[in-house]
Amino acid sequence: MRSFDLIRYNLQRICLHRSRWRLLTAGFQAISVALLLCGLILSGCQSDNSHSKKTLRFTMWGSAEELSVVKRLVLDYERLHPEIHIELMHFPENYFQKLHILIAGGLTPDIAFVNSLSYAVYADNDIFMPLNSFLESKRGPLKRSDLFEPALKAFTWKQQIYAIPRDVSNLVVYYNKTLFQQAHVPLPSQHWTLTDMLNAAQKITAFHSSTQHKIFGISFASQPPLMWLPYVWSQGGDLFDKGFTRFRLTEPSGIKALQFYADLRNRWHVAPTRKEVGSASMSQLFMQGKLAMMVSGRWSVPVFRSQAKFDWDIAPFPKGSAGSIVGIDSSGYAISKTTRFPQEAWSFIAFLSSTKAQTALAESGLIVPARQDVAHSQAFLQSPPQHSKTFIDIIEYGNPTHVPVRWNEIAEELGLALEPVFEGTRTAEEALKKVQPKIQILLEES
Amino acid sequence: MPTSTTTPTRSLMKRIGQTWGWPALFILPCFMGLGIFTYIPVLMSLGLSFSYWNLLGQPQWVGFSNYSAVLQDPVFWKTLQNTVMFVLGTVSLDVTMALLLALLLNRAIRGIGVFRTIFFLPVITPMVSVALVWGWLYDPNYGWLNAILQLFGVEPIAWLYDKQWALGAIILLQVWKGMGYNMVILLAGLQGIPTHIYESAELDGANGWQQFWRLTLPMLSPTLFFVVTVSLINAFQAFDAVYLLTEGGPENSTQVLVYWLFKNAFQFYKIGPASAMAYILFMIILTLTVIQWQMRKRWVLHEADD
Repeated sequence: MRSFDLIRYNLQRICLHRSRWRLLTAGFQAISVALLLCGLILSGCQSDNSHSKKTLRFTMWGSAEELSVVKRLVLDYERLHPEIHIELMHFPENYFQKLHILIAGGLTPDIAFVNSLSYAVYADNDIFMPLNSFLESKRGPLKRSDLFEPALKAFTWKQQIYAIPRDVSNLVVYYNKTLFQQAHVPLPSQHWTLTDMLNAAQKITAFHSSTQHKIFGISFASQPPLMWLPYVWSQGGDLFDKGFTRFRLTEPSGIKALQFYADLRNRWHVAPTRKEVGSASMSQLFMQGKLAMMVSGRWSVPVFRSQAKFDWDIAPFPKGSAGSIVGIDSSGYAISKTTRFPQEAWSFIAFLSSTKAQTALAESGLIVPARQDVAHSQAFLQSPPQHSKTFIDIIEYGNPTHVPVRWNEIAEELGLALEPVFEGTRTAEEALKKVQPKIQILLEES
Repeated sequence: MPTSTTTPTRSLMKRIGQTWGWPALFILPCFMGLGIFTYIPVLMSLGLSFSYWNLLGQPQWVGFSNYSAVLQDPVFWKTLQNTVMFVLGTVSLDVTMALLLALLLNRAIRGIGVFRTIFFLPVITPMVSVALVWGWLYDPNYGWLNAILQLFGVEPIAWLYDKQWALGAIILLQVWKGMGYNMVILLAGLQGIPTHIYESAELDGANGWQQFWRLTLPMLSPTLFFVVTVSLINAFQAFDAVYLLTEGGPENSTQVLVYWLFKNAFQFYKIGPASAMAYILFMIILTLTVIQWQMRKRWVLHEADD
């Protein structure tokens, strides 16, 4: 109160005349009330300007580059369909948190971009619409056969397709040709095995051991599980049985595979430890020429194209006893069950899945397009990497990744249990057997 | 000049209106904000702590089962233990350092304002940029911290990547970031102590050490009480440094209560247990604050007899 009086006193002094002060305060009060009322009225009647148009709300994540491609596509679509307005909402971080909160608030977007690893919980809670009937309609703009079947499988929940895949996201091995050649190690072939990979990694690590900066043979990621699952699948193991009733990683194949993976770090010292990585990322190490091989997906291509200062290429994941099997997850478009305009939403999704739109997305280099004709076109196959086609060739052996409803919690438990294994302070067998009951409970509670 | 033809009641109403009307109108937006974004959510989360809700369906009443599930979860206890360690570490270091700085900066020398600004800067620096820079300082391979330690023959430490060190590293960062705020408050407290007390103490032959223990500390105790209470509450709510740097790892060694709560709510979509945790945390903070409030009679000057 005292400071308020002081300000008032000073103001009065400035205004000199008491009458003028009165006028001033009255004017000030009138203006502030007017502003307050304006604010209230404006906030009440905002966003009603496109009443005549059908508005479809569309949420997506993605890099600035992806966003600019999608924005252009949205404009194209609106030009073709002047009666429809697409309200694009871009959440670059914590996407699924925000989607959850929109749904909780009764503001489910008409069209949501989702990932096959995150949509189970939505399908289970009946948030999205099954899309089979749209896809199977004879005269529809988009047919099932246009798309890679495994990507559709990744979005199939209880025989219903809940999203139209935009991409096929799988893993390959990126390798630094220069490091291989310097150490006189033969380049990875299409049929190389896990033993070949370990040998190559050992030779390259040993060859460069005298240099100032340590060079590592192969990348290592402890999270998310999708990054180490290829080692498990290719050696005949799996996380769960088909119906998500049983945790299977404790079987000998799973234990052996995870131990092999941990050994890359702690026994053979060909993969960098947590301490050796520090705050860097695997792709930073690779681009700095400190990593000979890196397990990664298509998303690494644009940055390597623009920044890698050496010769690089890709090879399929090396074969184990069960072959070369990596996961296939996918990102795609789902339609809300409560949308007022399902036909229009479908027409927009079909447009985003058209050859033209998929070509624009493929040209960015970020994705393996879900549309077969675009995947086999130059838009996708252009070099580098020289063997881009590998991404498509391995699709038929891939493992469409399904996850149970409480996947996030299971991944957390699993990650926590495996941390000491990856640090070399516990064996895979011990850790997996210990965490098994907890994960079993999470499966049964789903 | 207003004419005095109004009745006494009307003029009283008018006076109340004059005293409260406009101020009430002006603080209304703020109260609406507080109501919508604080009080209502606080009450709703109390209800949700007794419910099952995954944000997608309708909440279902489940009684106390969220509370019992949380209390039976070993990760929760690990998290609580980490939080207590974190609170003890940050509050003790933070208050000691802030007091030390305040004493050093409580003098009239040239350029003192510059020093005060320097030590206050971390407080107003956003945590995101602080975390980014400290993440680099802590880097086991390129970090300056290890480079400096190596000069003294210390083996490289993996800081955030080592479960023995990670929590300590977060505490250090938090102390660096927070001590400026406490320093300013303690500085204000120091400047409120009249100088003639020191003069008479000097005449009585008290040395610097005695003056500090017998005069400065007691005279500063009300400020210290405030600083300790507020720091304690803040430390229990630590979240951002953990979120930005370690995400609770390695091996849950930096998992603190609020981050674990957040993870439960927005990664596992377990709103019920997360709300229960929030209320358990609230009870812990409330209890500690009440205890401190009671204890103040023992050590805070002029508080014993009210």
